[in-house]
Amino acid sequence: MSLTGTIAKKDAPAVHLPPPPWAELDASCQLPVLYFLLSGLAWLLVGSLLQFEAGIRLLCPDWWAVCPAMTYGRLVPAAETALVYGFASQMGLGIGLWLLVRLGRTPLVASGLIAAGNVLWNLALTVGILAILLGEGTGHGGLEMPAYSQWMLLAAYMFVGIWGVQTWAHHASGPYYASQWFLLGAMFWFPWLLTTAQLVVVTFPGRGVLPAITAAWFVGGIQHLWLTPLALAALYYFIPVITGRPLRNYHLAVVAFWSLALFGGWSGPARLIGGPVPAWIVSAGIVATVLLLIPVTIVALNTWPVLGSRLGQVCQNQVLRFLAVGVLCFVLVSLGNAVNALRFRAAVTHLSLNEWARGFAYLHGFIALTFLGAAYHVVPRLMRRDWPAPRLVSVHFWFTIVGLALVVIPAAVDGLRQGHELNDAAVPTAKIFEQLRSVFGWRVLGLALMGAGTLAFLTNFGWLLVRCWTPGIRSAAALFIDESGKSVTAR
Amino acid sequence: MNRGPLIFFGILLTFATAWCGLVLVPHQQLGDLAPIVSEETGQSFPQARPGDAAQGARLYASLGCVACHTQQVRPEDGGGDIARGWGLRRSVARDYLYDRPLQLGSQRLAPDLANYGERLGTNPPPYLHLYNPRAITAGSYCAANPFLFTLRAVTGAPALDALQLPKGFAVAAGWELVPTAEADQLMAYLRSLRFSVALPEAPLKVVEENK
Ligand code: HEC
Repeated sequence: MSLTGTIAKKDAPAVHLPPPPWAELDASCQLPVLYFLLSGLAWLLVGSLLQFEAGIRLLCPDWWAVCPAMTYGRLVPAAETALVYGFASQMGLGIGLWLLVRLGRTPLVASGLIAAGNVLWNLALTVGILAILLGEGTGHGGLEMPAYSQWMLLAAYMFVGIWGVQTWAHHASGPYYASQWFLLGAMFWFPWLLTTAQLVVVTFPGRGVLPAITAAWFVGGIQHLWLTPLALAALYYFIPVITGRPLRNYHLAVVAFWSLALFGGWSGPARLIGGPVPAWIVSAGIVATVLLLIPVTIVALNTWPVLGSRLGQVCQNQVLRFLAVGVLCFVLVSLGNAVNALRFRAAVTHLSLNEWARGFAYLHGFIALTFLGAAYHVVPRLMRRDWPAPRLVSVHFWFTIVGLALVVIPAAVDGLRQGHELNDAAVPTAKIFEQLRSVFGWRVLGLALMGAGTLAFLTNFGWLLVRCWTPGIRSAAALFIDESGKSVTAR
Repeated sequence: MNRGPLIFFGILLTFATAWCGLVLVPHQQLGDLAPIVSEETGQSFPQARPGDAAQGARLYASLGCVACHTQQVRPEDGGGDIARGWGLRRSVARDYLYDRPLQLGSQRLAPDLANYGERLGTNPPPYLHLYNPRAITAGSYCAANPFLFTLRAVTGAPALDALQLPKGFAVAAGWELVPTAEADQLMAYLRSLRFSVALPEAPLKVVEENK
């Protein structure tokens, strides 16, 4: 196929680029990218706080119980909305826009309008999350915000999507890199997913279980056709650029893209297994979830040899560490999802905390770590100034990793017990649930650590901005940061 | 070389397959699913919820009870739901014709409520549980809903529906806690949760065994 040919000829994407005017290009996207990254981080903090609060609710259910806005059932969807649409989507967009500019070697089109889109996006989310806390949520998992803020979000996205695709099309001559494919796909799929789900689930809901089927398709799509491709676009750029080595087996990346595009769209209904929907729909979802291992394997084949050959650098480099753990989470979670989609496994793990743990590791492991790592690379280039406190980057990394492990591992392990015991009618129901308390304890501890990590990042970020915007303080070291990202860690 | 249009076309096409398969076709297949009318009793199943229960359904969704409670009974070969007594048969699409918003749930941190009305039977409604689950089950992490009750001074005889609070939860003498209209609606909804009617696509387990 000619498409394969185009992409395969280029062995080392983004490594042998002739030096274009990076400073000018970065300046063209500075404002919107900075907005998206900063508001993404702020939503990460908000989402983590809401999640933490929900965890506290499980441990001390009577504390603050008089306030319906603080009830567990509202905190959970509010946190999820903040994390998916506030944090992950905005960070992904910020990094995606920056990549479009870098890879296309073309300035960002209409950056002022994109920045306006960011403002509208944050407004839509603020309204939506407050509405959830006040009990106006739709009650549909993944689409909790009331219709008015979903439409506002879609309008906000259009500002970004339209000019983003324009920037993509202004790409300087030469083949498209895999990252650009993933970005184009994501930018195109997201509005289609959101519009359909909005119409069919919230605005004109179908009868009976129809909204559940569409919502399952939508949630699968948000994962595999929106957040995953955005994160893969970042991995496929930053790993070769920072290590200075081309991705291995790069010709396979095109297969990864098309298989993700196809199976990602079909994978959603696997989460309805055992549910009251026609069997073929669930079967299609299971098959697609298992076949998603094709793109996942290719991502591993592309990135692991490179990371493996530079293990020393991976352990040292502030950016690569995040990315490497991100890839690892992606592979492990996808493997877990594929195995547990099979009916005999799903009988145990479906609806259990094991399933929840995989979802958490996907969002906070793969997606979040990838974007956070990428932000550590992007921001110093945008601001033409290095991170003021490299130590804080390490603090962020270790707090996040340890926190993640504390949340995910106990839940994954105890979720198996929960699943097995629920299937054993001899075990009393009350006992099964009561034993989950220790998992909740670890969860709260882990979330606290992760939140502290996020605070470390925000501190560093704020410090950097203060330095940049305070006239007079300038350090020569920060004026040029070479493309390999070394000066991010070493002066 | 500019392959943009070709990539774009592929992106459109792959997405369209799943969109047709998982959005359009299910709407075709399930769009005109109808209640079933029993030949013996002449009653149709499922039935639309009366007003207060329908209001209660909104409240159930708004309070996010679905974050812990599922409402689905999995088939016997796909989990132990039926053995645990959460239903007499698996749940199927027809059961949910009048459920709006649908609250299937994706997390089981608590008992399934698909047949809660059936389980409750003629027992008194669990207002006390709604007020504070710990008043009944010590150590439960089920969410409390004190905001669904009004604290008021007793005037004359105590209200009939005032909560009988156990020790440790009691309110000051001369005061009583009574359910609000919302609490009554939520209770009506919980009572309405049942699907123990045999359907052609889902016979009851007991009926099956008798054959
Ligand atoms: C934080 C998780 C959680 C939330 C949120 C929650 N519950 Fe529960 N619920 C539980 C647990 C755990 C139990 C079992 C222990 C018990 O009976 O207290 C339970 C039990 C119940 C029972 C008794 C079930 C039975 O089979 O006896 C009912 C009824 C109930 N909850 C209703 C609700 C309603 C209504 C809401 C929403 C206002 C709600 N729950 C929200 C966790 C939760």
